[in-house]
Amino acid sequence: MPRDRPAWRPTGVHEAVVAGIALLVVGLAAGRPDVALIGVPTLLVAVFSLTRPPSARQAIGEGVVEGESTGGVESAVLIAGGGVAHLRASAPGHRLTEFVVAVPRGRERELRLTLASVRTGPQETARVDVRGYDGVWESEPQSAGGAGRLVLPSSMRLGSVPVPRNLRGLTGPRVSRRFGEGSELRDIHPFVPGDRLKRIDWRTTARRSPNLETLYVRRTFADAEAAVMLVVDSRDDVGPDVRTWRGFSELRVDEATSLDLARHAAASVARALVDKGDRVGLVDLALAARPLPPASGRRHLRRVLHGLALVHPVGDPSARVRPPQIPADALVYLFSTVLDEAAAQLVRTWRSLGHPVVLVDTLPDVRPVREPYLAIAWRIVRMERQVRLDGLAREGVPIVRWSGSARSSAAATLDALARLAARKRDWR
Amino acid sequence: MTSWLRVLGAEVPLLRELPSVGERPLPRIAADTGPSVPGWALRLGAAVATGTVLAIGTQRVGTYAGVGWTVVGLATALMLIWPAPILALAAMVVSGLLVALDGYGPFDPVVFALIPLAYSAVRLAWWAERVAPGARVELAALGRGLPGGLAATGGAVAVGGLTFGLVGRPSAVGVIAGGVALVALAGLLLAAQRHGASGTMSGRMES
Repeated sequence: MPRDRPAWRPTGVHEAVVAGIALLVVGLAAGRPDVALIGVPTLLVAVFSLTRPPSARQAIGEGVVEGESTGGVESAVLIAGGGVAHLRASAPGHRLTEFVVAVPRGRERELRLTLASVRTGPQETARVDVRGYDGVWESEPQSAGGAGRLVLPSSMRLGSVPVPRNLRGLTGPRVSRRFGEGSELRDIHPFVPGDRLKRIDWRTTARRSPNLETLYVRRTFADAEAAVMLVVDSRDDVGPDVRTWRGFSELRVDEATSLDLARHAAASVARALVDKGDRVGLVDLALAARPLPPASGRRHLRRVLHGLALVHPVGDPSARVRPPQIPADALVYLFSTVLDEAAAQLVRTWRSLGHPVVLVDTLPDVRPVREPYLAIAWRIVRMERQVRLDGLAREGVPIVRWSGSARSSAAATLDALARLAARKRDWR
Repeated sequence: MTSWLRVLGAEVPLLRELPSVGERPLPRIAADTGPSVPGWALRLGAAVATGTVLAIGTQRVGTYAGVGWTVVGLATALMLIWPAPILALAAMVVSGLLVALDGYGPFDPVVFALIPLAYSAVRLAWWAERVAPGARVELAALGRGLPGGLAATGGAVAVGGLTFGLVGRPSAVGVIAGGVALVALAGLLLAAQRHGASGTMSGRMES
């Protein structure tokens, strides 16, 4: 709700009155009515405006906007009172921006402010300092805004994504390789004790055993669901500018960092799996907290998105002593920049335990740097990273790039991997 | 040579702090304002209007043309760099004084141009002083107070037209009208003083 604040004060009236009267006196002294008339409009408007102070006090406030959003950081500023409002809006990573807007008489003006930030996670709305004008009257500046918002990651529509070959459960959208209650026909088999009577196929029985000596039943594959763990390597958060990696300068807010890319990729995979009815869990590598266990459904997807928005680096990147526990038969999607050896070690450990792993490379497209020492440092880091990625690729780990132009082909890559995983028995 | 310069740029702190040529400016915050004009246009308008007001005055006198143009140039430049209504008001007063000194009396028709120009210069300078060159100003906000300004300017021009017709002839009506106008102005000033005192008092009490 807008807060009331008083203190309208007249400004610049004395100068206008003095100038107007000076010209009147000069005109009178010189016997020149034309000279006297030059300052009359300025004098009249100032004096007339001074006699009519604003009836309403200026009030400003931040409008109610949802605490969570997926479309950037938006806020609404409500202004009432006065004829004109002068706003100075500021936000981290943005230029100081000024607007002057008209305020309707006796009504509230709502002004929507949108930041250019493409970041996700906890963000702050724009802070505004507002000063009101009404004729010669001017109000004291007031501040509003700066509220916290949680920007949930957006997602990209994906086709099919790789799921583990070993499915779990007795229900779900997928077809297991086990016998069980399902809709997919496996074979026709003679009736044995334990078979349900409703499964007897009377047409086949009549054809194969007209005397009903043997009954035949339709056996089906069991229904099942896939379990997938999304592991976000949030130990570091780097942007496309190498100079910002050690905190020497600010990250630009209109460029996605590695963590933004990881959030977007993980949200896209999670949405694709939940849409199919599979189970998705979430692990934040920076925190030693319990992982979000795999589950399915819209509500769980919301929980996953919320968890993704909250992942953030904690302290310096450090290698984990033990890899996070992954449910049996689950496939792991690891979203990482692979800037250190820890990510590659985790992949190898999970694979040795029998978990298939898909590595999603979330390092942004790094811009070339001018500084020679940084250029050399980045060259070394890039080569080490490439050696790590090549090693993993040689071991058969599928790697999907998610930054820049590679993102548009990520869906096709995942689709091809999904088909390969379904075809090859030993795909890991 | 290029690599040597790059090393120099990287090692010398002063050069390292300089923004790179390819560096993009920080993004702006977007707002859903109506049709608007940039702040620099108001500053430019104020400078042009003030310069024109002064130019009319100085050229009307006719002597010291070089000095006149220098004053006009200085005032215009000053208004571009440091816009302030007091500068426009000073230009208006100086121009009025120069018109009073010219030989086109008792009524110089150039005031029909000076009246709206001087008011516009003061108004634009008021805006330019408050608004940064990069700011966006809604046209609706600029239009606030425009009817009053137009009425005052139109009224002054109309009175000027009447005076121009009657000039050179003694007129009892003119004298009476002038007296009434002075009384009305004094009344307005007294009322304004009363309102101003009560307004600032309430502000002080509540703050």
